[in-house]
This record gives sequence, structure tokens and C-alpha cells, in this order.
Amino acid sequence: MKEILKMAPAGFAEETLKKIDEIMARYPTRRAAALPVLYLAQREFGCVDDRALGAASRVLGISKVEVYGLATYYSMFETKPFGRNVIHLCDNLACSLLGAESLQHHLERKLEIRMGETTQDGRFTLKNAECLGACAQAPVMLVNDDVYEGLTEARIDEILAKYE
Amino acid sequence: MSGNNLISVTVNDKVYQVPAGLSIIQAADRIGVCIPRFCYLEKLSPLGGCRMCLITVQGIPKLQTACTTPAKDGMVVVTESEEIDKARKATLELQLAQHPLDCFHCDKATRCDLQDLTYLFGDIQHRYDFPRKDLPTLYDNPLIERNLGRCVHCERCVRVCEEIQGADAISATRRGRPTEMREVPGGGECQHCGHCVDVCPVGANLDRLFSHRGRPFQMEEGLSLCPYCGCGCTLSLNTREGRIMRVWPRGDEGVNHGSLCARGRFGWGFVNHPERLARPRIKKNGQLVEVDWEEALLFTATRLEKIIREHGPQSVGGLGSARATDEANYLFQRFMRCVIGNNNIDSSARLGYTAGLTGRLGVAGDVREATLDDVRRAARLLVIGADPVETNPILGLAMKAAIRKGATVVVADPRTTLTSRWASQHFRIRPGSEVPLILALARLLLNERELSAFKDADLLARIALRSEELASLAGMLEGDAAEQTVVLAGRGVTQAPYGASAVAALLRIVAKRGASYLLTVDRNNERGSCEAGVLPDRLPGLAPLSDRERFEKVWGQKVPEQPGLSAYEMLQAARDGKQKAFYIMGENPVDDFPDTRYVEEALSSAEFLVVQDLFMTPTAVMADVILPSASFAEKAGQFTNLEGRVQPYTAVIPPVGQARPDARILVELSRKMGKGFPHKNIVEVREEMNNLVPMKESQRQLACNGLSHAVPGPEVQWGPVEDSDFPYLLLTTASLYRNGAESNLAVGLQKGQERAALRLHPADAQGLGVSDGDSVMVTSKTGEIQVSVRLDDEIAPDTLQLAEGFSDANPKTLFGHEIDPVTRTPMARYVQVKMRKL
Repeated sequence: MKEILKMAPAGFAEETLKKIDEIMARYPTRRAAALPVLYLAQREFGCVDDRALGAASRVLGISKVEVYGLATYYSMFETKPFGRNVIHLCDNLACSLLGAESLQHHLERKLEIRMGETTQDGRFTLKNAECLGACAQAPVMLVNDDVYEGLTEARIDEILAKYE
Repeated sequence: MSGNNLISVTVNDKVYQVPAGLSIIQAADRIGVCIPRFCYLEKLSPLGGCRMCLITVQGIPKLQTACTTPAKDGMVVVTESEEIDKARKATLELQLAQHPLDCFHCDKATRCDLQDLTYLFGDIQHRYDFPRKDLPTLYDNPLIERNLGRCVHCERCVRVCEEIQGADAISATRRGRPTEMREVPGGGECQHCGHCVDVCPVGANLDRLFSHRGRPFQMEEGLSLCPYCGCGCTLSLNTREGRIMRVWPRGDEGVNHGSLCARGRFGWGFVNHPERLARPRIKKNGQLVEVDWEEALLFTATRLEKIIREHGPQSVGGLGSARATDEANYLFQRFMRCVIGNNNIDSSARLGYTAGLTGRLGVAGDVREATLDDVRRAARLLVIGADPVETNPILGLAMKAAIRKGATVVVADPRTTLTSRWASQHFRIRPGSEVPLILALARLLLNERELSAFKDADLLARIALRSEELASLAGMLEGDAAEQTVVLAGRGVTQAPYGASAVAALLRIVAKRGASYLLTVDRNNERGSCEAGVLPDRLPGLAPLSDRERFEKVWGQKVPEQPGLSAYEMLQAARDGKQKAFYIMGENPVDDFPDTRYVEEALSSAEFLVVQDLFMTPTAVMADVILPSASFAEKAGQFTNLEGRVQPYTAVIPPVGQARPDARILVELSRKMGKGFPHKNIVEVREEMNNLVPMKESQRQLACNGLSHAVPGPEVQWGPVEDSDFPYLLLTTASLYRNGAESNLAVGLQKGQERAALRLHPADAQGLGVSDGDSVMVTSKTGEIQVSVRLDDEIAPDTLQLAEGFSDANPKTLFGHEIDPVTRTPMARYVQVKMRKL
């Protein structure tokens, strides 16, 4: 009888696993590390797709459907592939009063996509954000992890040029 | 009254003593104070999500959820106040603001918690004008619809699927108003247990087979027992105008504690199937024609009498039924012994339980037999040659419950099964090496002289196990937790050569270590049929034939002294021309017994064949007389489950057409044959049987006597011999969706899985050039079947796995008719085959 062939399921890179171990050490249970592990999974797999869910579910020791529930609960996780850079434009009260809506139109025209879509070259994904907690400097947007305040159309053009 | 584990809690100004360790809602339920809830359910972990169970705890400023707040000693709790009322009404108002309010055509109407609570609270305001959620109803699942708009986001379905069934099929996706409880791509596979339908407080998860078949108040509910596997689950049949409309569990009742599997819940479709036999038929001029009962019974009696007169009583053989009631089987053996006059009595229990029973009889004294509850409480489970999750799904749930509490499960089985996927450790032993494995364990743990002919190294090589692996298996039976160790064994052991000897050895180990054991049982009444005396060498209660005088006295009829033939001996006798007639009560050997062609030839060489059945089965087609019998729902009786628990049940609906209960048919036929049984009803049969076989706490007191039987020697061939013409080894498994011919006629199970699937390793599939869903022809020395393939990378290469029970690809066709020298059990675990793409 032949040796049993093991098809390795998609998993994290060695380096990520090391980071996960460090994260796990900070929590009382494995499942408590779900959110930081999901961030790593999203970074490694590009989005929280089936492979990422499987990898996260294995290291966390919880079911895939539970990880899926978490990943869809939080707006910062994406289950489908998205752009290299994600723009979160706040559309809550303070930003809206100061012109967030027209900024949205500007972004949509400039990038030739609608809210929630990704540019054809994969450079940007455009999303709405709930309040980013910087109302005094409204309108506000987030590009990846960077916050930009006091936005105008010209300033947006400058900012976007920084991201490849 | 104040023991150490009681605490005192004040609820609504009254002081109560309650056990420590409860949540407030649990304490309230125990003292009869009603707190409304959507998400809380006793058997699930608390969620605290629905905000209906808000209460006040003195000293805490905000309202608390009663389901997540532990009750503590001295706590002062208020469950009704203006503030609480306002909060609960606000919750209901928000629920109603987004509910579609389509109660007019909702199957749940009048049994809906949202309706009931709204009714209870009365004046709910409607201040919000949210657009009604325009969420779809999902029909991806063939048996369960998910009406997302009606969902109240209680997550009971998500939790029950994870915590009880362990299927992990439903996810709570997204958040806030768009939240959907649904199956998602990449999630676990739905096992169609229907738990999510039961626990849903509203009409979000619904039974699609039922869909609009009546309002809840138009249904009559009757308790019955599941007719499929040996668990013996309590079912509540919902009927309308004498027809089953749906099945669900009732509360926490029965050994199943309110759980059901796909077969129990969705497998009832055969009962009112249009092809049910409604009238007796007899063969006239080569044609089966419908006749009345009188003619059919007279014809049967006359023909049987003629054959007995011409060829002697030994020329008639009988198969009782591993599906019929204890009473019918009891009457059947009495009919064969006293009316026909021989002990040629057997049933399909010969395929499994009988060998286990013979093994049990081989051990004198007490061996502790586990109950399903013992399995739920077990700390260690050792599973050998068994797949309880698929053969006995509720036993599987008990195993999963134990795992959740931290139990270690070790499986020794050549197959990849739903059970092995749950194991902490799975030893993939060589096919057919379950018996050598037990012998090796016995040599390690028992120090018995009779096994001294074996060499450990030979045994281990045969099993494909290293000695340290054997030691770790043996370790499962050592140490302090032995009392909480349960050994589960199944057909991998009982369908092997010398399986009974292996069971006996295993039970001696179990007894010595103080552990307990349980044998999986594929058919609902395999055990009851044996205990009722449907065995060629044992009377009711497993009494030996030498004990027959006691029975003759009660029956007032003679019992033959000579042991009879077992199933395959009868078939061989028919082929040899010695057996002229078969009386088959509720068995379908053509489908269920290995080596289809051999069985068919045997039955067709008999002069006269009587078949009592629900359907025109491949066996019934060959009959000279077909007597239509009543289904489980249409008759009263008792079944004995795999624990040995004898469970009575009553008829819920009238029989289809002129079908009659098996027991009544036998009584009437005995009268036609001049040796009439005196029984006027089923209760009289039961009483007679219980007098002969005393019962204690719903278990029969059986004659276990340390029967000695042959011990195998090292020369026995366990497992297949290499054969280059047939390079693959096909292993039989069980399916959640099939169990016998009836299950193929149940529309719910067809929807669960339509056709058989041959599981094979992707590497083998590649070699053959097939991919998922392609058809292959599988050929053995005896027969061939066509079946579609399903790739599964957890299956061992060079082996194929095919579930029994699917009528479109029956593995029994591929087997030969080799039988075990001790128990005459036919071998049907593995067969060498070749395969080609179609």
C-alpha cells in the first residue's frame, strides 16, 4: 500500500506563525486572539478568503463559520480581494456637513469607480467609513493606516499621488 | 434545606434556595418565575444577545441580562417592573420594526415566540418606520429554508449547529440590521439534522418538506420510535388526516434528549409513499394478483402445510426482522418453532449484532454495558471498527458531547469516517485487522493462555501498527479513568472472521479494567429480534434450546430440539434443493445480504416464498405470496435499542390500505394452520413474552453463560490477499442519509443525498482520469456497479469507500458469500475491485 499522501492545506508562512505565537502569548485563550490573527491573515492572503479563513480557523481552534462571522462583522476585513490601498471616507454627520458628499463624487470621478469598488489596476478600493473620531478636523478619510484631515478636492489629489 | 451547594436568592421579594452555579434565568426557570427570552436555551451556551431577559439586580445600576448573569448567594433580583417592562417593549418594538409581519402565511404562526411575546406585552408602540427588511428566503439547502427577514438574530441555530451537532454549517454574518444567519461557502457541510428548525423561536428556519401542509393547530402529535438505526430515538409524528406531515423531537424526551438526525427527522416519507403495498397478492399462473386477506392466508397455510407434509418441517426456513417489533419477532419464532416445527430462524441481525451477542455470551459474569448517557459523560472513548457518527448519529452526538467536555477519543479503523474526523487520534489500521488488533490488546492486557500461539510481531505487522502505538491504545484502558472509559465496537469487528471471539476478548478486557462497552447497531431492532428468540440456537431471552421445556409449558406446543440453520446456511440449503420454502417477515435479503446473485438464486430455487413487507422490494418481486404489513407509525409494539433498553410505543396513524401489523398476520396464519395462537392483542403477546423473559428497569434479564467458542489460530487470514487483477480495495461505510430500502423511498433522504458516491483519493482519481461527479464501473469477482465518484484527500490511496444503503449502487452486489466459521456471519467489510472510467 502506498504511503498516504498528505495534501497540505493552505497555512501561514513561518514568519507569520511566529508573530501569531507572540500574539497568542498575550491572551488567556487562543480564540481571544481572533482579531489580530485576522489582520495578519488579511495581510498575508490579500483578503479574508476561504484560504485565510481556513488558516485562521486552524490556528485559533475555532470553526470556519465562526471566523467568517467575525470577519464579516468588522468593516475592516474584506472577504473578496481588494485594492493595494484602501480609502475609507467618513460620511457621518460632521464630515457630511463639511462636504463629504461632494468629496465622494470627486473620488468616484477621479478613480472611475463607485463606492465599494476597486480600480481596474487594483491600486485603490474606495469605501465609506463610520465616524473616524476626528470630527474637529472634518472632513476626514483614512488611506490604509494613515488619517487625513481637513480634506479638499485638491488635497485629495495630492494625497492619492503618494500611493502606488 | 441549606446544603453546601445551595444558595439563597431573593426573586420578586420571595426568598428561594437554588443550586449554586446557575445563571439567573436558569434559577428562575427552576423556581417557576418566567423571564421572556429569544436567544437563551438551556442546552446552549448563553449569548446575552436578544435583550429580552433584562432584569434588575440590586446594587447594579443598569439592567442585566438574566441569561449571562450568574446567580449568587444573597442576590436580590427583580424580574418585573416598569423599567424592565419598558426595556423589553423597546426590544420588541425594534424587532417588530424590521420583521416582515407576514404571519398570515408563516408556518410558525401560533407557535412563534415573537407572536407570543408581542401578545403578552400587548401595547407595543410603532414609532419607527424602518423600511421592512427586504431580505431573501434562502433555498440553497434542499430540506431547510432560511427566511432571513423573519430572523430575530438570536443565534440559536448558529450555536446548536456548533455546540450540539458539531456541523459548523451556519454562520452569524455581518452585523446590525443586515445580519444573516446562513450557510456560507467554505463552512461545514449541513448534515440535515434539523436542530436549527427546532430551536428557531420564529419562522426563520423552516422544514421545507412540511412547507404549508397545515397550521400547527391542525396537527395531531403522536409519540413514536425511529425505525432506522439502533439508537431508538423518540419521535413526535405530526399528522393530519391520518398522514404524517412532519417529524420533530418532543422536548427533551427519549434517549435522544430532543435531538434527531437526518434519518429520524426527514426519513418518514416512505410511510405514505404511493408504492406502499395496500392489499395481499398471490402468484396465479406466474402473475402476482391482488386478493383479499382470507384467500391470501388460506393459500399460504395450504402451501406451507403441503411442503411440510411432502418434505418435512426442516424444508422451511424463516427470516424474522431486525426492523419488526419485539412482539412480532417473538411471535415469528414461536410460529416457526411450534407451527412449522423447526429452528430455522434468523434475520439480518446476522449481519452485525448476532456476532457481537455471541461474543457477549462468551463472557461469564457481569460486563458493564454503557448507555448513551454514559457515553455523554465519558472521559475516554476507544472506538474500534465502528463509525457511530454515521451508523448511529445520536450516539455520535453523545460522543461529541463528551469531546466538548474534554474526553479523549481514539479511533482504530481503516476508513476515514465522520467519526475518525472527530478523533483526537486515528489509527488507520489495515483493512480487516480489527480482530488481530483486539487479540494483540488481549495479549498485552489479559495474559491468557489461549492466545499464546500468536506472536506480537506478526500481529502488529498484520495490523500495520507499531508496538508503541499499540501501547498507547492499551493505555486508553489503563489508569484511574477506567470507569469513565467506554469502548465502542462495530461491524468492523463483528463482520470479521472470529469476530465473536474478538468481542469476547474485548469484553474480558473491559470487565477486568472496570470500563464499559457499547456495540453500534445499524438496524433499529437487531437487538430486540435476537432477544425475542429470532435465532436458530436460542429461545426468547437468549435461553438455550435445552431450556425449551419452560417455553413449551407456556406455549402448550412442542419446540424442536435440533438447532436450526442460520441465514446463509438456509440459502445454501435452498440452492442444494433441501430447503423448499422461505417465510420472510420484513426482510429484504436481495438488497441487504452480501452476494446479491447468490441470494437471488437461492430464493428463486425455493418452491414457495412468502414475503411480508411494506413495498414491492426486489425480494418481494420473487414471492408467491406478499402480505402487506403496517409501518412503524401504524402499529404498536416495542423496540429494543442498542443499549438494551426496551421501549414500547403506540400506533399513531391507521395502516395504509389493508396493511396489517406483522403480529396480527402471524396470529391469523397460525389459526389457519390449526395451531392457533391465543393472543387477542399486542399487549397479550407482550405479557407472555415478559413472563418468559423477565425485565428489570426496562432491560431484559438475559441468559449469559460464558459460552465457549472456537479460538482463532495464527493461520487465519484477516484482511485481503493481494490480487493484481483487482488492485483497489473497496471498504463499506454508512451514510447519514440511508439505512435500508425504505430510506431510499423517503423523499427527505433523497434530497439529503440523491445518489451513492464512491469516495477515493485524488491521486487515484488522477490515475484513472476521473474528477468529481464522473461515473466509474466498479467490478469485483462477483458483480459490478456503476457509481459516481467524489474526491476526498483524507481517504487512503488504493482504497475506495462506498456507503451501504443506496439502492442506485449497492456494494452488497460486489461481495461474495464467505461466512465466519463461528457465527456464520457473512463478510461484507471490504472487497477487492477494479475500476474503469465510464
